Amino acid sequence: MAEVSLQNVSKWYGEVIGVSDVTTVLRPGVTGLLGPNGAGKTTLFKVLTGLMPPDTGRVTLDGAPIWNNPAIYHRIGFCPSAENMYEQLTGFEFLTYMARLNGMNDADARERAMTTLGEVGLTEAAHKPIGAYSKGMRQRVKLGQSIQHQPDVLYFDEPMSGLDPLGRIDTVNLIHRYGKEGKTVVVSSHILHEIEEMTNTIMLLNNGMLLAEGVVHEIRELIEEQPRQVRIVTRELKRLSNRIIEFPEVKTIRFGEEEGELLIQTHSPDSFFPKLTNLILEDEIPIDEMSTTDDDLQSVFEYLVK
Amino acid sequence: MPVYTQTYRHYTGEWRSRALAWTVIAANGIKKRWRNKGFRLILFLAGAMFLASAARLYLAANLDLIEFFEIPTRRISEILAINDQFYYQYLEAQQFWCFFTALICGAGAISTDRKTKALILYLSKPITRFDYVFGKAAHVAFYQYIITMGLAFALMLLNAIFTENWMSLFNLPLILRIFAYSNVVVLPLTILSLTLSALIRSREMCAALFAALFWLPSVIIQSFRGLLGRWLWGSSDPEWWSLCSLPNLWDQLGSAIFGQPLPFAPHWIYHLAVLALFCAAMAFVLHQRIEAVEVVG
Repeated sequence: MAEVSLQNVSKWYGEVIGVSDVTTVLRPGVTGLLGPNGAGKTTLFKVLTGLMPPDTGRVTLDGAPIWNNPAIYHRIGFCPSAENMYEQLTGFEFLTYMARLNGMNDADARERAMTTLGEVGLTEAAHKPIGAYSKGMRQRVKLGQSIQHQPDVLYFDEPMSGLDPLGRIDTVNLIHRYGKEGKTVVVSSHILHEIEEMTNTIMLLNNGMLLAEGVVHEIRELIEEQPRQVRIVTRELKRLSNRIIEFPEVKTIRFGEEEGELLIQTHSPDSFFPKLTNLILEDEIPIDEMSTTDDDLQSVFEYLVK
Repeated sequence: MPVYTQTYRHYTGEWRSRALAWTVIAANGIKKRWRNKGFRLILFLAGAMFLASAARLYLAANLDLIEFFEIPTRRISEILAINDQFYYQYLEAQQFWCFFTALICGAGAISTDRKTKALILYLSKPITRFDYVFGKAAHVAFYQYIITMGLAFALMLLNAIFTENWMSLFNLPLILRIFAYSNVVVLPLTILSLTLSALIRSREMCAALFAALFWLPSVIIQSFRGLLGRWLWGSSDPEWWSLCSLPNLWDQLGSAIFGQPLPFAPHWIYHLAVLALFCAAMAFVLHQRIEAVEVVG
């Protein structure tokens, strides 16, 4: 198992900042790298894969520096977002070539290429030229070249782009599996629900800065300036709202569009929820539904980025 | 720390030595190029001079076969003499095909990778930028070496077979001359084509510029000489212009290597220095380009 450490990593393109003072540790399991377009995700991947050096700071894989250290690159698998295929080669030839570049001998490279084509669902198209592949199939081949040498660390930059629904499910399952096995997996996307399908551990980048990292609902709890939104559906709307409005923890309260729907904002969910539970029990108010509406990834993302 | 499944999988085979990483790139390029029918035709045409030279070797070893032409034997032996000049003539003729081979192999060598952003894939593998460039250069140079040095040595072998003089195979000065002249031709073409390929994303544009850089200086110089030469130099042309064109550099150095009369007035050392500077400058640009390329993308 592998651990990737970034210490005060920054990268500039002239006066434009790519990544700004990022310090974190990537551990086994799946981590979602989130951020809007231009947030610095691809730059971060390039630094993590040794494609370019950080201007300041240090990136290490199990203590060994990554930049200018190709000897450890076979421990890394990288699926870039850019379209970068040799149209004349078949899927099998491409993967064999990539495996040999990783340092496998010819026989192993061929064997691994065929196995990997099976893993990404391209066995039947193995001997067709990549030029004849659909966008989704190309994406699968690209995914294949990153996993075929069974690396310890896997970086997937926008792996779902161009995939059909079936391909997306397969990819999510594959990434899940690698995470469960104990591989250190980082998946980037600017589409939140894609990340939500794969993991609830995230790193949030914006303008090159690491805004937050950790489990989604834990991050949400740390965003104190944004009141937590609670949605309750009850048949005794008036009685409940009259009682709740007396709570000092409640910031706003309003009726929702749905029948019996009450929308509450609170700054102190920790004391609000026990009080609410007591109220419901003591006054015997029937509750049909209760949920917090803004501790999902979308809300966290919006609070932090916008 | 979560509990992971017991299925953590590693590649259990052996990793090859990284020192040979460039050979994978070279071998892939060579194989890919061989698949191209047009390129195979170029190679076949490049082999025509070899066949003609082989026929000459055969006739030189079997003079009795052409007695019926009633040419004096001494004259025939002079025409068909197999000496260093014979090999120089062969290699000189191959310059043209080396140009085409470098054009076809080199133009797309790096530009295609840049266009498809494949450099990211290469450099995220356990290979260095040097491995990458060296592998590409080896691929571009391979076929050029085949049609120059490779076939010249094959001619030496045929000569030994036809004359049954096996000691001629150990003609070390000739071997060194063939080796040196082949490199004088192949290395600049390889470096120039790769550098242009790293600078220009379009394979076609790269090929056009390569051809222009190869042919245009000679054309311009000759036109310039025709128009202004007499006015500039009178009857004693110092021929410094011969330093400005690759074919001229080859001619001067080839003659020096094979001990032939020099075609141009300046000492051949100047031509060697210019060629070395040209290669160094191209290698520097190539290095800078590959170092900088694709980091932003």
